[in-house]
Amino acid sequence: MKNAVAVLGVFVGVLFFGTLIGDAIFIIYGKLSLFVAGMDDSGHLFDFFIGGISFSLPLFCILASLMSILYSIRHPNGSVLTLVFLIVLNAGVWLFVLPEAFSLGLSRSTAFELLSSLPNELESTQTTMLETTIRLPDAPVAVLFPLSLYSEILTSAVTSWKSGYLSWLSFASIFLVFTACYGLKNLSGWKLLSGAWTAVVYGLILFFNGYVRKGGIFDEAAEKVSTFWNKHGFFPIEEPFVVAVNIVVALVLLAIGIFLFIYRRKLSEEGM
Amino acid sequence: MKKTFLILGSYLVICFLFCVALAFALKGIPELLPDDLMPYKIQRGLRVFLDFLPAICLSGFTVAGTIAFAKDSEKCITKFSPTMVANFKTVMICSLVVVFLLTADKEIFNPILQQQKLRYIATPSLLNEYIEMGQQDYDEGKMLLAYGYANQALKINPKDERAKLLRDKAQGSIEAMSAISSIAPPVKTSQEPLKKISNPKYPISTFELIRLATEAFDNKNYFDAHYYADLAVKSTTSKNINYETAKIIRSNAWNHLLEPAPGEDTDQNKFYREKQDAYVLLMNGNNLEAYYKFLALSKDPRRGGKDPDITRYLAIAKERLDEMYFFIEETEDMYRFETAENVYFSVNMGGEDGGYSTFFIRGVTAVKETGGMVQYLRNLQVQNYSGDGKLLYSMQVPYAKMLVLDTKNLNEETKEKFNLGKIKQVPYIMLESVSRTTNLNVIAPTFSGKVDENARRYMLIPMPCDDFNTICDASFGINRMDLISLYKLSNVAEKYGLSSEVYISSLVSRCTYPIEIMVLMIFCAIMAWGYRLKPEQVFKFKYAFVLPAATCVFYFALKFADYIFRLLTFTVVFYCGAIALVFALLFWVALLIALSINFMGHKN
Repeated sequence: MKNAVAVLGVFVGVLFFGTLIGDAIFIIYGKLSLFVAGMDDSGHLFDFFIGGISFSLPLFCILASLMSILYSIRHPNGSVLTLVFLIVLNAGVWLFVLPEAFSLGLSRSTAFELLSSLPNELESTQTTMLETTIRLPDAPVAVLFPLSLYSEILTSAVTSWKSGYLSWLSFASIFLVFTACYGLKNLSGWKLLSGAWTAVVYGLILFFNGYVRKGGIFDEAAEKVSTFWNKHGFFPIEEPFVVAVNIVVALVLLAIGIFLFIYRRKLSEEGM
Repeated sequence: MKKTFLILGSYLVICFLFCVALAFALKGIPELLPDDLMPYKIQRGLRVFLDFLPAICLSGFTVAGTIAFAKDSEKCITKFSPTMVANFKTVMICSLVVVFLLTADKEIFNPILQQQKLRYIATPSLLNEYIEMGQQDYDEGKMLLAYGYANQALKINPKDERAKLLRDKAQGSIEAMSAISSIAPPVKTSQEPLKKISNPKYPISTFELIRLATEAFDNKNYFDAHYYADLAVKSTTSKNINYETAKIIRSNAWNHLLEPAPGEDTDQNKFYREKQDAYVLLMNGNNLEAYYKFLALSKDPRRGGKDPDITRYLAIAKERLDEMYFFIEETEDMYRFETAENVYFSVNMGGEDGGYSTFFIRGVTAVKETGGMVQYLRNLQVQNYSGDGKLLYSMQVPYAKMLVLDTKNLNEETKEKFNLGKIKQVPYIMLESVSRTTNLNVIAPTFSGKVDENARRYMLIPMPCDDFNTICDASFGINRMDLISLYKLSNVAEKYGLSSEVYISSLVSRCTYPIEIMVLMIFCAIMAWGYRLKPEQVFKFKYAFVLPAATCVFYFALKFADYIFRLLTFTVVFYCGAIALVFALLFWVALLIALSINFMGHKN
């Protein structure tokens, strides 16, 4: 019980404070961009605030569930209740909080549209080459690339939400994978190993979700699944391929989780 | 312990090999010269490895910590137990090593590799540029420049066919245009005694000059007689009693000089007449023509090399040329030793209307032997604006020579005009160049717009030379500058149209980086304590599989954290200026202390 409450605390804490911090950084970035461009930055605070929320809320929905899984790996004396809490929290966030937030207006323009409308260096008013000397610190590829993938996911989330509840539901199936990652907590007898690989699997799931939408080697498969679904499906889905893969991966993780759970249980019984 | 080091050591090697393999497998190799391909790939592997190095170090340290902390962990019953303090000491020692390693990576290796990479990438386009410019100059009939460009292109890639062709074509044309074939070695002259005479600052009295003139006249050396007498006349006024004497000797010598040589058109007489012509040119101030004439005569097989008149007047002509032009041959090969690239800045030209000039220099070569007193500027572009931002003129020149000018040698009027104030040394730029050996056109800058006649040949930048050098240092990117120059530049950046925020925040980031790493190390130590092995648990081989996953997670986490820190630093710098450095240091030190206490406060 205590453990489950702690997991709840971690989840809500990360979601709430993470969103606030993410929002603050977003606002700072926006303000700096305007400053660097030599533009008046006084009137945009509210825009940036909303943009920041729409940027960081979904991100920290994802990170909060990762953090609670890591927490339950670090403090492994949890019961079934911990898992139940985790499922409820994840489902709650993806099925209620995010749609609710979108309907409150976060979907009007996504944070990335706002970001791309910002200038990141001074717009030339004179034809000298000196104007480009002041600019924001360049972000490394290791930052830009994950952000670009995240942007794809976010855009897809908004379009799914716009095309109806069933469509959103299929998008939100992503929470199944995230929750299923809980199964990896018994991956190794060593907590650090389980924790690190859980984080990597999490990263890979996000990478896949973003990468397919961005387009790449999965284009053909995605196309086939999409045509198939359009012919035989019951309701429109934005990216049927991703949804299908997510569900399959979730099932696989679930199976691994059950197997690991039984395996560990058996090991410890033998140990006794 | 031994096992831990073994695992971490082999992990490091595996990572390195993996990075190099990755660099070989990855696509996206830019256009390179064929010979550069292999070094570029290896170099890229090294870069990827260094990029991952912080993540590798931190993840390795965390894993090592989880093993090391397992020992004696039951003894940590209270807070600040001796075991924990001992652990902390170990952590600090490891941190210092890692801090040293990573700082060296960031401050030394990474900048060098980045620079190398840029050089690899820039080489093919530089080659093309040289050939294209050379071809253009060839088409416009500027053979000397074309030849120079072709030569430089060949220095980059000796196998380039286009460059070879261009060089041969240009060389052929030069040979055809000039009697002097190819590029001859510079003429050796006995400069010493003459230098003193032609140097107006040298205190030689009028009386002494007249004595020299008379002596030469008596020896029937009319050239010297005229030369010295002319100097005497110029060095005095009509009120001086020597003035008339000097004038008389001068005109007598002149008359003798212009006397047709006796006898028929012998070789010797022709030679004498040519010498006369050259001398007259020199006296009329046509130094360039005179220089080439004397140069040709000095190589004349008839007797040139032995004629003392020619040797000395050639030296005089060269000395006068030196004040007006530089020799384009000096710039040959200079790009290979460039100490700065793509330098740009703007300077207030000192006028009351607030007019300013922007400078753009593709490459700067400081000549080491002169201690940086002479610098060659490749592709100098200058735009001059009036105070209200209207373009007055722009100028471009393929090569210019920059000298350090002591402001003591300037008159008050000039100092006032450029508002030099207390500046001691300013950059002085010569814009026109000529060939050392061949009488071709003067290589002059191209102007558009209205320019003063004086500004066409020389240019003075009203800024201290030190500032110029600092800006040059910055041209390879602020990460490569040393911290002292960076600090200096952050103070004056605004004056030269550069942004001080960028320099200060880079300064802050770089100064705080070692502490930042230290903080991260202690953070990892805390994490390692949390995930430590149980005392009875043995480190199994399969546990080593945590390393790649941890490195991956650390890599992205570090990159994001670093970027966010830089954004925040920029913000603080924007609001507080240079004092942000103090704030940042305080922040990191406080965090370091807090985390250290937190670490030692852990118990089992």
